[in-house]
Amino acid sequence: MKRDMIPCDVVVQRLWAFIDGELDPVSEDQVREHLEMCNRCYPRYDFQRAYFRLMEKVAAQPVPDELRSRIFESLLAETE
Amino acid sequence: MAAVPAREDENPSCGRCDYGKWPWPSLRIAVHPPSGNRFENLPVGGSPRDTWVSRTLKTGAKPATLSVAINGPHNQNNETSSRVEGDGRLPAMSLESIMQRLRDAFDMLNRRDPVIGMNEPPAPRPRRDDAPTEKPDHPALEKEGFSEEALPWMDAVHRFAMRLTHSDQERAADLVQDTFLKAYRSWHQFERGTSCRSWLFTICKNTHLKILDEARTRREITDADLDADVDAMGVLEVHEHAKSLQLDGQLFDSTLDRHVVEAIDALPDDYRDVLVLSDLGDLNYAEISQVLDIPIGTVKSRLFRARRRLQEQLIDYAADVGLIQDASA
Repeated sequence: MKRDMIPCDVVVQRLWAFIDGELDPVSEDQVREHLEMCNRCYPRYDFQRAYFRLMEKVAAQPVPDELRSRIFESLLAETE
Repeated sequence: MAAVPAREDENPSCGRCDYGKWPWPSLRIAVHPPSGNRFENLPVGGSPRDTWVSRTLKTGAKPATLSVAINGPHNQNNETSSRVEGDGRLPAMSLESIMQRLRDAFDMLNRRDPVIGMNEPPAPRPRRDDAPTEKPDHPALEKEGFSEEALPWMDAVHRFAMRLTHSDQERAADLVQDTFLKAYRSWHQFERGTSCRSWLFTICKNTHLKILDEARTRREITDADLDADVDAMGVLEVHEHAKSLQLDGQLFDSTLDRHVVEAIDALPDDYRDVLVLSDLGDLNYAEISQVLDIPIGTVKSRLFRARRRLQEQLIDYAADVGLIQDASA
């Protein structure tokens, strides 16, 4: 069933919340349907997706091994 | 092909975008008699061949040209035309040509790779809601559940601590150690079934604030003019800025990790905390609200402002390293 599309400014206003998965199901569907149709808003979405890919890469940094060992040793000392 | 008036009752319209004039994908059949045009818009999924043949035969006008098009978004279409012979029928070669073009068009739409570059369907970003599944490579600690539930979040807590301390490795290491020691000592207070990650972030943040209170060096901002709806429009502003510099297609793919870290460290502390918990820590708005003890509306406003500032900063970095010149070359 086709519904009226929400306008671009509403999509822009909801875009970060959409990407964050914080919209209610109806609003999420509205934004998704708009993005599938709109050649102005989809690039905005795509731009933000690239940002989150970058943040995922940054977030992949692990704890240095020395620190991990140090913390574990201190926890073991608490136990004893 | 001449423009076809949109049928407002059926076609969703964006209003501001000049988009959605056509439902897509859809099949458009146009029969061009000697004078005037006749069009049909049909949903994809029927039998194009039967449909256009019957339409052709019904025109009764000859000679004529018949066009078949698959409509994509924004009037994008994949179209082919053939002149109808004197008896009103299309030659066999034209029939095969049209069907091949239709198949190509369907393939194109199925790949979701039309002109606007939609390489993936829009969807919320994946979140790491569960603890990493790898088993700890050390013996279990005495307190039941701590090794399985708390220790897997050490990477995430360390990232948070690094940003809280503006990349001061020594202070961050002390903060992570203090966090896990406090968590271990008060493990009996952790409510099973709730988010251990949020609990650890809360301890980390409170420990950090206690240290800062003693040092009084925190860079705080005022929340007086925060408005999540207004701040959300940063999406548009930062993208327009990147586009004006021809950077929108490559900016984040070309950004170095260390530039991101430096830019996050340069944010006011209150913005940085929310951004790190959300974009690096994968907490949702409600969890961030709990960890930082601020309303969800404030979480959203700070987060959106932080993202805008960070992305603007990354655009500046791109200019510094010459990405802009490369893009315009």
